[in-house]
Amino acid sequence: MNVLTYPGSRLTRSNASLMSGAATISIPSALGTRSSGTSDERVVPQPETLELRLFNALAGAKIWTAQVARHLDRAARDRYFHQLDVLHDPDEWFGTDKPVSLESYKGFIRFMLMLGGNSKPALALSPRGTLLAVWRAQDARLTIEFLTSARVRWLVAQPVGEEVERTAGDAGLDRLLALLKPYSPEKWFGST
Amino acid sequence: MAAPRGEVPDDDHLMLYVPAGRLAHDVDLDTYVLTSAAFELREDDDGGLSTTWVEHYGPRSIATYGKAASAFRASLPTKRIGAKAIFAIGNAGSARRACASYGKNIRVVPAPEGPNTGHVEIRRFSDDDQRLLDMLANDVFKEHVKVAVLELT
Amino acid sequence: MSGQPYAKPPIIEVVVEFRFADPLKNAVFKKLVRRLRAPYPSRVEQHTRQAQIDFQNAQADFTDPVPQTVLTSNDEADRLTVRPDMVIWSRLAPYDGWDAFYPRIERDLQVAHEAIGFRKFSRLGLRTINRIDVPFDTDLLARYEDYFTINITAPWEALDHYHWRVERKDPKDGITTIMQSGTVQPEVPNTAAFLLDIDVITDAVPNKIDEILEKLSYLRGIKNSLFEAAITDKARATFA
Repeated sequence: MNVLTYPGSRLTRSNASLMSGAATISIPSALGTRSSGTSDERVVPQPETLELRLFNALAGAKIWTAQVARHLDRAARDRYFHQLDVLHDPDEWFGTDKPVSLESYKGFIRFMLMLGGNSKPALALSPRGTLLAVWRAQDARLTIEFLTSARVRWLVAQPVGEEVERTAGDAGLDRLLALLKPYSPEKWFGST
Repeated sequence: MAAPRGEVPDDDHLMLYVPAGRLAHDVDLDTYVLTSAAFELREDDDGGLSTTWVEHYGPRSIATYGKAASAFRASLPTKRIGAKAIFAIGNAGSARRACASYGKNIRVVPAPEGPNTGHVEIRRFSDDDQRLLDMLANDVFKEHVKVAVLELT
Repeated sequence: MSGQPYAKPPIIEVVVEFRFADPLKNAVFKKLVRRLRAPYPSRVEQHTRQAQIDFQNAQADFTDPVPQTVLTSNDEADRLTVRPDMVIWSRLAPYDGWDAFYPRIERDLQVAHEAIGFRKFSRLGLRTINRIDVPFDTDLLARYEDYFTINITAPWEALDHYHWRVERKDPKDGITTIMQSGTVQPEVPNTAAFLLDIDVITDAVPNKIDEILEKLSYLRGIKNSLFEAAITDKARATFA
């Protein structure tokens, strides 16, 4: 059981462009509370322990996923959540490393939505909190690091004769599939 | 290429602590890939990539790995390392050659750190080239030892 | 009770709020939390404060902190927020239908009743937040009007953002409905995103649990009717 018995930070994300204007009747929601014109209710921020920091990062990613959940295969969503949980085990946390950045996670999910199909990348976390996804096939490896929700670093490592040829770059997320075309990405992604 | 004087000899080995989060686990196959993230400089890395000199603690063996890992653990403020973490082990000479191939003339310098008298810094190293980090992860530091199998003192 | 009519409903969050007529005393609130928390793996204790801002006199007044416990499932989709003044059940997408959500409310209400006895409620509300991701046409416009029947007539052909809000209290049953819609941050590539938010609220809450639950189902019926009236067949096709 994951129990945090001390005050936590706000776990909500507000849709600022929608929740404007006065409202006399409010029902709090995980995705955003409604505020009236002259009165506002907020969760009081508290100092964060490591466990709370990790919990908040995970909760933020999972809550955000609701925005796109109907576009995601349920098994894939569950798998991503499990992978995130494993990466954020407090017993394995090291030093001043950062938990997953929400912007990086959004980039990963957006890429998987663009890709379609059912590929299952392995996931890792950089010390800066960016998510890395790794696909392997026939000794060729593709690593994509999601720097933000719209920008990636990518690397292809594949055998050419007895050597390993490495090509790397950074690009906008919307350009990535085009940049990967010369490397026959279907070997990693399957048919999409 | 002979190692410069005062540096870790080419034939000796370096152990890099890799927390579980840097290992990309295959969901279905129960295998993992050591990612380039393992070779990123962290905020605490002051002056170079932090590793431990294996042969400083004895001839290369699982027992020596245990001694080196114990010394590394003792040097940490938390005195804790993760049970699901690994140590990635690579040859110092191979590391020099790999870095040189990407234009980095590194120095592998003993820099004792508290109880870890075998602490080594890889200096003049930068983590801006993903291709180098990937080479280190997959071609140089290829031997992996799980913390779970080490005898720690 | 009907099941889920759509395979991929557009609901991103459904919220049911019960507001206590008299806020619970601290010991009762804590007892309620203790009894409710068993089925929820995660628990976060928080405090909220309200601020009243008087711009004319440049003054801000803060209320005393109000405790709030948020109980959640591991995937954060099932949530129960317990406060001295209200209890809120919510479910984030993926939404498995009312038949999956309602039993949790029924169960927890029963547990609450056994723990602290019956408490009068002053308000009962049901809110659903729906999200539609509209693909851009070849002219790079996302025609939300093809998906919603309630639209704004503006002086321009294309807008960057919109938001509308309507509110009505039914004179016969006293039930207040608030509907809102507007643009939100797109999350799915090559789409624009729009929310349709429907709130149905009553201040006439019965004094027996089974009647309360019947009233909740009545509110749901109103919400469903409004939802169906607010969307087009083109929108329905995307929920299949």
